[in-house]
Amino acid sequence: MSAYWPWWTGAIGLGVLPVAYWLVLRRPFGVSGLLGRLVTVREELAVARDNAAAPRSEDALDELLAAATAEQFGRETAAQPSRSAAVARGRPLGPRVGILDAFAFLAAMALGGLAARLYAGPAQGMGEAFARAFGGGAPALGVLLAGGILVGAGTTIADGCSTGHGLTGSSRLQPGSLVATACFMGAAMGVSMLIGWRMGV
Amino acid sequence: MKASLGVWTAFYCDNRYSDCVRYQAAQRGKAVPDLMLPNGKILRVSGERT
Repeated sequence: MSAYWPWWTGAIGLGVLPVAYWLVLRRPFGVSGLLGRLVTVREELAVARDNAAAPRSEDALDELLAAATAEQFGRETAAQPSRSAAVARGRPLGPRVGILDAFAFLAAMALGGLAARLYAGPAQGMGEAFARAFGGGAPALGVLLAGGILVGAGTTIADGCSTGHGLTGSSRLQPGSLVATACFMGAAMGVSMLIGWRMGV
Repeated sequence: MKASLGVWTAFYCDNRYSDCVRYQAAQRGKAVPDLMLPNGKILRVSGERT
């Protein structure tokens, strides 16, 4: 049995998921964003409680909003018609997926990886080239840890990862995502070539 | 509701968006309650606000 599935099986899955996610939920899909929510889970749960306490009826919401508007701007200003209210502002984003839904997706992703590994057989490690370049044991682990930290910091600074910018943003031709993808893919190719050249792998 | 929302939009979105608490929270990657106003107050059934 081959250790890898045909390339197009992954391509179909990776291509369909972010586009379908956008079409159905009107939200950009990004794994690093979902993972990042694990870090702020207490805040996420507090927000979920706030959302649960939201007024159920539109009349009650109107009343609360009118009172808050009058409190902030005064009753006269709040009662004046505003030009901004009539301006169409494009199609809005959908609401963020709930924190439990995000956890469910991450758990399913881990289970999918496990199922694929069980199906494909024993792990191949990081590959021969990695072993030749960095050896094994602590040095290899250190390289992987450093790489993980760089990925985490980079996706936070860039506000997205290879899923968010590379798949979701690029498929929607978002300029920022196209630039981000060109940068991180270019950097990855450059560093890979440099390591290969310096270490003869 | 549209009139009230228009006042908030004109004041914060069109002019002082950097003062908008929703904007600031989103910029920091934090979750934003659905009914949090740009000044940070959250509309709740109980009328309790933060």
